[in-house]
Amino acid sequence: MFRKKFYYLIGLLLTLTSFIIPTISLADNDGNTVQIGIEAVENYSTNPIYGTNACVSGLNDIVNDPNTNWGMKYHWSNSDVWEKDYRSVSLGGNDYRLTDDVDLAAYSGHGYSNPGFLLTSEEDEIWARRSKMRLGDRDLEWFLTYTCNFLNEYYAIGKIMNGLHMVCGYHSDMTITTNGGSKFAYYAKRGNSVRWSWYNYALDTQPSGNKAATFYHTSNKDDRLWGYGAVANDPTPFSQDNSGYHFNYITTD
Amino acid sequence: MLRTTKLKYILNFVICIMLVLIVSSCINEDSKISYRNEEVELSQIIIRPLLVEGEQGNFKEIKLEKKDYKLPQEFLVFKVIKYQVNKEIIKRTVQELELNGELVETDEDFYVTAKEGNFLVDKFTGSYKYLSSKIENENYGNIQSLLDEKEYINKAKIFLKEKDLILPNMSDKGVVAPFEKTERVDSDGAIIEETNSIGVTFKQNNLNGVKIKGVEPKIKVLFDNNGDVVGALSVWRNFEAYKNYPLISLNEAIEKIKKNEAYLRYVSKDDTGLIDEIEIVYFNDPLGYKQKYLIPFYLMKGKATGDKIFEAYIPAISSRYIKIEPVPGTQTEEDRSGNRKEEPEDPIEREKAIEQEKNPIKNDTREIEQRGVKSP
Repeated sequence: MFRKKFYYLIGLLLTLTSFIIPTISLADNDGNTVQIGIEAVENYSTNPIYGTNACVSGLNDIVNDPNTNWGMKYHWSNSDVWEKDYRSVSLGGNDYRLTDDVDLAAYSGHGYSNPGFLLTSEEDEIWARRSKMRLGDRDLEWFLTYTCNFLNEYYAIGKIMNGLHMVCGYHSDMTITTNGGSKFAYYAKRGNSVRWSWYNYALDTQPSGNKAATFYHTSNKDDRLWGYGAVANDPTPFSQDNSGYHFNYITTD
Repeated sequence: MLRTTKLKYILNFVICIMLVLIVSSCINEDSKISYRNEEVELSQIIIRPLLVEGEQGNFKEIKLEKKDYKLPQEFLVFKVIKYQVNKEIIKRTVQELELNGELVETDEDFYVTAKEGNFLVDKFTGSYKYLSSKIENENYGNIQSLLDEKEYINKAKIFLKEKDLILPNMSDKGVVAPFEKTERVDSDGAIIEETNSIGVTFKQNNLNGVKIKGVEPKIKVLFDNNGDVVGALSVWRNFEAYKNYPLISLNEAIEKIKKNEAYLRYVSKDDTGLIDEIEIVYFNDPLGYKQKYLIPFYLMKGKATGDKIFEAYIPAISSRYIKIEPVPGTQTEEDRSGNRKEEPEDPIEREKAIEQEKNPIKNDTREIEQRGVKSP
């Protein structure tokens, strides 16, 4: 009698679990978990930036949405942001354990098109170089860069697209605002594509003259964040076929 | 006896309340500060921390070209007021935009997400974002010569009027310019630059003849290459006159630049700058900053190293009348960095990752709509 009840309970539990865990066949390495990873630098010795940490922290609004299943994998700041977090694994970096091991990554801090992000830690060097990034082969779909001029030069940006759907950033200087992440999240949660969530955030926060930009494969231009609409398959890497890649930008005038 | 005790209690209670009121009036945002030998009382004004833009750096040296700058001693401050949102008008707009989706109301906004496009209205500022799903189409063509400037402006005005999207104090003057551009490559690998959409921008009228800078209030109507409206995006705030406040001197303003108490644009580290143009403008914060006041800023322009034209925005009101408070809801935690340790690595995993980076095409069989959605 007791055993019957026990088996009945186990059966019930398994049935319920099968409802809770959706049976989805996924290509990505992290299975069913959709994750965000954020890094921000603000304590530069010569010109600290107020608000980069708060800026990317706003992406927690996606994690806190009770209707979706996002998690925050990592949040590093200041001297804990290392260049090898972005560097390609083939070039000795660690991207496969950080930037390329989440679905949505974001960086906020000083930056240049060449070499790239300016950090405060010298582990292993002070620049996270754009020329050493190859992203999207493991997991990353969208990369948000709250930094100046990172999106300049079509072919140079293209090199980082190794399965990455879209990189969002600026084709000019930009202004850091503490609500950069939460503004992006707000628009994404209202059904906007990743591209237009980025542009709407930029229009709301940037003074005239700045250029918000996105670089993407055309098949991914309408991508919504996971849980908010359709996401197209990973694109062919830029190095194999660049014909479908577009560099798009708007002015905030 | 009982009566006296009761009276004592009441008296003590009244004294306590009065003490609380006195103390709170000293510490709250409206604490009064005297001005002009205590003839006028001015409240302290809450502003947000100054923004930071551009490369890391400030001037090595900055000078003021000697000119006869005639600037006022005091200037009017405006208060940000709430937009009077009307749900019926929003419903009508949604119908006019032919969006077949449910109009959702939250504490902060109204929004519709539909197959035909998205629309949302911010309840506090009245700012809205309308994007037709056609905006995602990348149709290229001779978009700039499709209509002339006048036609674009007229069409934009008609659209805004028909859809009830005109906001208070919108300028009648529209400016036509390419809005969205794309670079792609042709079969020879040459880069082609094309315009995807044209924007007609209507800014907010100047306040008493003074420009609003920063995140300038504006309405943008977007056109595709068929000459159809595919979006209307606004960034807006409404203001009412508050009080006059005394201004700091130009020398004090320049000192603030040197102390990094200014918002600098187009300035690099160790530039030298010569200010040759000064005006007073109002500075509008980014949307979402819960701005309370619109205050005057000195806008100083001039040439920096390499003949760059720089811009420096300095709050023109004395610091004693200003209280800087972080943007609500976005306060940063204390810096706890410096404790990160490298995690041990599995060499086999690394080898696998290197292999994957070289052959990145994955087996994409995912059910694309599902991922990230919580099960019911």
